[in-house]
Amino acid sequence: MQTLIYLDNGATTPLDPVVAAGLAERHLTLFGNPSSTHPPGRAAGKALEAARDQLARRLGGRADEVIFTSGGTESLGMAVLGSAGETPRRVAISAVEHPAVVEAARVLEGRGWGLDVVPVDAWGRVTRDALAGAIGPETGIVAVMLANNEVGTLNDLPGLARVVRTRAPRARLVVDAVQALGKLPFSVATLGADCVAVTAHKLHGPKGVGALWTRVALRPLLRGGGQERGLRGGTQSAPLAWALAEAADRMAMDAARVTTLRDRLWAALQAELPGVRLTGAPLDGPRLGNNLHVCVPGLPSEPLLNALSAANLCASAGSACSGGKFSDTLSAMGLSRDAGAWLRLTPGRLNTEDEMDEAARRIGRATRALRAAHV
Amino acid sequence: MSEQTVRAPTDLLLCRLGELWLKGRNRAQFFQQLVRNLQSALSAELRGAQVQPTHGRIFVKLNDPNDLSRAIALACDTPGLSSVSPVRRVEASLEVITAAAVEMTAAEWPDAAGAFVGTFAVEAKRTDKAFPLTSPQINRQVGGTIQDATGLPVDLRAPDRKLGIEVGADRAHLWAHTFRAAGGLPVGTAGRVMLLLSGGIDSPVAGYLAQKRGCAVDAVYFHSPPFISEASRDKVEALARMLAPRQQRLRLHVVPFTDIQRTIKESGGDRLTVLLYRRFMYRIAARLAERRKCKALCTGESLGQVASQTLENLRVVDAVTDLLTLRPLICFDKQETITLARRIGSFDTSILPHQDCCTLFVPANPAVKATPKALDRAERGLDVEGLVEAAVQATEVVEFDADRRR
Repeated sequence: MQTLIYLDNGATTPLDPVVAAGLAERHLTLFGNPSSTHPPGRAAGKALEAARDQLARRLGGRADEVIFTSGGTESLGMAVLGSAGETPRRVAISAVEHPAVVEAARVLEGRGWGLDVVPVDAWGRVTRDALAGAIGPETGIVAVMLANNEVGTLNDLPGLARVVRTRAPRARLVVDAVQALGKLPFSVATLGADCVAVTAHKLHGPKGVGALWTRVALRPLLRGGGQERGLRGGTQSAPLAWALAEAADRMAMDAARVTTLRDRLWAALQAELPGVRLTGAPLDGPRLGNNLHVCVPGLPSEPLLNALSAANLCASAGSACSGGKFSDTLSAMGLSRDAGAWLRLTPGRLNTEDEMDEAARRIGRATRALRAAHV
Repeated sequence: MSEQTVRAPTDLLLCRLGELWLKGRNRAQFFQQLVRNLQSALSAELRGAQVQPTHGRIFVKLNDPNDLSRAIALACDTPGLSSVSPVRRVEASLEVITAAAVEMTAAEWPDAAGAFVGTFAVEAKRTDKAFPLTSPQINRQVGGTIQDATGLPVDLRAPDRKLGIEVGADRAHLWAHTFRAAGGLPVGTAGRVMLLLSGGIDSPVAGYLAQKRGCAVDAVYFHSPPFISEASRDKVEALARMLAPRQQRLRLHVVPFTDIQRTIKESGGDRLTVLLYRRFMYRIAARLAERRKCKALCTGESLGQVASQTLENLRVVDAVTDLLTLRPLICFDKQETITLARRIGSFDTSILPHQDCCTLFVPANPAVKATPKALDRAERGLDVEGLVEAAVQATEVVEFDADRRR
């Protein structure tokens, strides 16, 4: 068996060993309930608030605007569903949103809300004109992602936020920054958003913790013991909160190197497979630094992915959450399944330069073998 | 038997036999197999559960009354049983039976608010004719006492609740609940079949139905890496694991199929491609069946469901083997199959999004009515025997035993 090369960091990342060690220690030392008043409880409470501070600084917001959650899906659900009042209005989402947003919007649709889908351009971007055309005074919630999970396209959020304020002054703007945190410098102060969702496991943190930054009042989905300013009942985990904040900072320090790896992979892949095409925005354009998404013409996705799995190279055709059907994101960008094998390659902090070269070789070998088999 | 009157009523299950009653000279053999199967299914999960065969029925004695609901589920899933009741065993005297009946109805029959609502009937059966009262007399006696205690009216024709009583020579059994079981015949009594198992909805249901009619099942799965992902194979293994608890052990034969598919594709079979695949699958399955002493093949085919399942096309596939092929779903509608798949618990696994057939090589316009002659012609240039033998030689066997925890 060849050595494992993991290039599916867009789906999830291996845990940073430093974060893993810190978590192991904190799970033992910070076992207290942050709401308890005895010493272990106060220690956990202090650590939790320190983590909140640290994450707020990373996001460019205030600590009291950060709510810890179980991850991106909960954060987005909390933002979308928690923004909905009793009176049904309209919810607008971009055509390439994550299922966490799409399904939350569908729930609102079931409650009588109108659903507007904002089309994207060939790179997968929401343009100001498209957004302006899809929203109006009736719009109560707008959801646009900062960086797309499949093709890594970045939206011009401050610009889109201005459109929202002008066209739909009463609307909430919810931003999915799950893929962007730590990889793209941004500040909630300049995004113009009302709610921003992030998670730990896309940046070498653990699964099971995320956060929602919000500057507006939300209706809680879970009340329980009134934790997290009454917005999210349930005993908080100080170790997990620390891991999220720490992993985000460590990701940010390493983001430029990950981009170098991505660029090297693209160069090696082009040398290995003439004819391979880049999907979405150019690498030096509005694109997330860890995202490479390509189309290998002349063969379908599944056999190539399976052959790569057999070669111990982990990649994906698109989002891990799309469940086997052709990507809605690629469809929305006007692309078709038949164009070739779609491949998302997302390096992370734990990858090396040699792995990029070797990955390109394995992809080249697998492609040539499949083509030789008259696939 | 006085110590038995103090036994907790919920550690004993009465399992009633299905069609076994119809069996003639083989009856003892069928009964033994059923006892073995039930004991095996229970032992795989419940410590100390004991199967106790008696005349024409089976009791299950549980080590722990907390195991009761699981034991009922396992017994209901054991082919050969028609119904299952948790019973209370008491001394065969009218006073004791009546007291137990009142106690049981007081425990089992009140609604959520503690009130008695509806009607009831007592259904007593006297197997020991030495008992001083006849069955109708027992009904009247016990029913009257229950009526006094609960205030419920009796309705003999369509009662809301029934209390069952069976009076034997020295002990009686009472029950307030009866669960319908699988029916059918004990797995293994009909012999073994080779099930063509894909990752879809139909084939696991076909396997279940074959088991229900007494067949032990071996499964064969055709795997085509890299066109089919390893996740698809995992799914097939999960389905095989689900079928295993009804028999002591289930073998899954994983046949490498990539070379055959590639060869067929290259030979230019075009509209016949899928039928050519299926003919090879049947040939390989038949070869494996022979090796494993299976008496038939079994598939999830349903008439007209897809192009390869028309009468004509079933016929040209069937023609490659002399072996009988069971098609339990042949006249099922898809929805009927789905309903059954949900009931046996395979549906959620079957619909996991992995390919179970190579869509890649499937022509857009498959032949709907092929002839054996056309298929023979298409296979003329192929080394059929060589391909089949190579695939059989390279087949990998995975074993699953009845223990669900493994």
